[in-house]
Amino acid sequence: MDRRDFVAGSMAAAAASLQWLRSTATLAAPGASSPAASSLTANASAGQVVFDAIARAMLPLEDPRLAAISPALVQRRAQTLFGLDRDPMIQSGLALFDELHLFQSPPPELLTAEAAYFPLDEGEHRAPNFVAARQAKDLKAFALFYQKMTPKAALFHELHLGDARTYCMLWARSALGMRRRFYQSTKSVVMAATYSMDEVWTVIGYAGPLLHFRSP
Amino acid sequence: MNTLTADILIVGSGAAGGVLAATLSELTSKSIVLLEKGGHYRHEFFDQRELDMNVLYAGRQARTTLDGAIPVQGGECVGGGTTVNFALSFDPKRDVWAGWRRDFGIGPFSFERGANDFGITGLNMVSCLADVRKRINVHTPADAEINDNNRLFAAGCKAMGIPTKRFELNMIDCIGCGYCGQGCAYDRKLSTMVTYVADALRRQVKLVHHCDVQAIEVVQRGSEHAAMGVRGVVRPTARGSEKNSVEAGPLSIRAPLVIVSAGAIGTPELLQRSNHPDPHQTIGRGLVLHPSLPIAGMFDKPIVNYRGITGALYSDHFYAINGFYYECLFDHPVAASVALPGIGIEHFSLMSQYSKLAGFGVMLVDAPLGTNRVTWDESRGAPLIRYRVSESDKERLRTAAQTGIEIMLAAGAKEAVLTSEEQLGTLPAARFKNRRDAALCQRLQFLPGQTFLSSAHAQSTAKMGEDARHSVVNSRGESHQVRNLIVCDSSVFPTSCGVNPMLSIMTLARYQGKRIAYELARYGL
Repeated sequence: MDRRDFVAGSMAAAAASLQWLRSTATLAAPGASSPAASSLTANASAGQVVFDAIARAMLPLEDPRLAAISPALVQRRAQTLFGLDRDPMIQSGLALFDELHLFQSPPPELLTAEAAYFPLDEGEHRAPNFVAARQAKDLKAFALFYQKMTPKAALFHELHLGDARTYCMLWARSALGMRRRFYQSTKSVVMAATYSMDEVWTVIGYAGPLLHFRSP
Repeated sequence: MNTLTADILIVGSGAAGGVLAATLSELTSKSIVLLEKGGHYRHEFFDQRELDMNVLYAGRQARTTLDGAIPVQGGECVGGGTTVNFALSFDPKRDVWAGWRRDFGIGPFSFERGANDFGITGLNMVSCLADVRKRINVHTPADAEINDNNRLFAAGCKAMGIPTKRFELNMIDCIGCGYCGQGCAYDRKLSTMVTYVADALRRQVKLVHHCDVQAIEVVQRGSEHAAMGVRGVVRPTARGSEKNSVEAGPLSIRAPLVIVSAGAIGTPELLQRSNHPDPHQTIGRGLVLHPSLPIAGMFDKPIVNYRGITGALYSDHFYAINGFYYECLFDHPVAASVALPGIGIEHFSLMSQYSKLAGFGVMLVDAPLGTNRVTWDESRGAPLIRYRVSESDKERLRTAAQTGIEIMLAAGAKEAVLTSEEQLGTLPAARFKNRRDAALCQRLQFLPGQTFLSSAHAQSTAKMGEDARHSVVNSRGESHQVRNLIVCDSSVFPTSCGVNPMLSIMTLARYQGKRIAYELARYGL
């Protein structure tokens, strides 16, 4: 199995596990002893780079009000809360997100998982191969995105901020449920890690818990 | 191995199990064991932090439908959903129960005062409801308890000619901290944990928490099956929980009567895990979720939004025709940031003005499609919750979204916001500045995971009915297939109960508890 296949297979497994990314219940990395998993563990630092870039795209860290918040801080909290670095499935999902050419030609496993988890919708055009039809829609959106991309890059984490945000929204609005799911999950992690910080509460005008009326 | 024996075993300590334990210990002298999957956390533990308090929820608040699109929230702690809900107390809807009597042959469930259901003096829904309302102090909040967020909702509705009503709530002297969803740190919300479960414990009911019930033990004699207890595992007690009544480790309980009140996800998965006969494939089928769609608004000035009673007002104006409610609710920062649309500057333009945000939600009464189903997945050790929003439900959600946006703008919001990433016409995001744009809600596709829907009212997965081909239990809650096995929780509702379900579940539990107490001989007790 080459790396691309593994990435796709893991992404499918990740979606199946349901609680990935959003729960501390996935701390134990399944199959960590298998050769494929250990090769991914070696790529955990690559995953960190991608996660950093996602955090930078999803949060407006260029805003001076968020000066105290860095992608590294968000990542540390996300790791503490959700165990991202210990989960090879998540690492492989990040790698899939990073490689722009995989948006254009997704691995077959991703499309198989799409059919399993996001079957034909009642309101959807009944194409014989509905997954291919969804991917065709995504390709049109990607072509527009690629046309405007400046400078051109092959990896998400190398994109300029504006393009990185547009790329995230391609996933958010993808016709493929698997891509929407990935966007939704990573957004949940980034936002939960950020907006659970007392420092951020001060910025947004949230006073937090009100416990002082409780008798000791 | 812990080995216990009891006359009556109840699985689940929430809206149903808590009431059953209290009622049966009040009216009988039988020995009762009450099992709870989650921990026993008291008010001192509730720190009002969203991520800490996810231990009170099933799957640490990450239980979702199979496609990951809809969180299926449920309480998983002593008190169950009543520990983490917003105290919204709707009486059981008489027309819904009458419809069930007519369409599914169940009953009597009389709403006539003085009726003697099952030949038991004074047993009827009205008297049981009265008992429950009194015990958990269901009342209407006073004018002074209505916060800005609720007032703005009322103002918007009034401007649109839509009547609103005040919720009834099960609390006493609420201090208005705004953290019902994280467990009441002041014990002012009268969950079953602080009422019925406490009553039961005073009457020597044995509570075992942190208990994973693996299976109901069923004995087969000839062609007949009968429940005879459960087996499970007691996990080590988590930090912050009360001590347990047994040591951690495997647990076996023998009991001639087993009552399952594990909620509309937990109950069908337990029945399936126990290899409960299912000749007509009815267990878990026809799941109802009450999908809910949040609607937010941005105002010019800071408002009191997260403090005070979160849900004080609602509108049932659209219930009869369109089958949805507007209910006032507001999220704390983590939940709000996850749901609000967009990323980067656009998202922060909403979050950075959190104190100026208002919110309410659409609660849709969804139809029970047979394809929406809970199944136990042995390989993953978790339930699979298959759920798709039907086309007709999407149609009603579009109407609800459009009118909801209009209400928010009529309330004076400079911008109304849907928790959606969908591209609607020429709008760059699902943010609406005028009523004309609200019509773009008709284009919402509700693709899974693109428009945020949530759910906290799972129901109808072990339906009551007199026809065993289409139901799992009879009107007494007794399994059609396994003797001395009763199901009593929101799973048994044949369809949606039509309202936020807490009081419907508690009333049913009081009713079945009284009935069982008078029909002990039926179960060999």
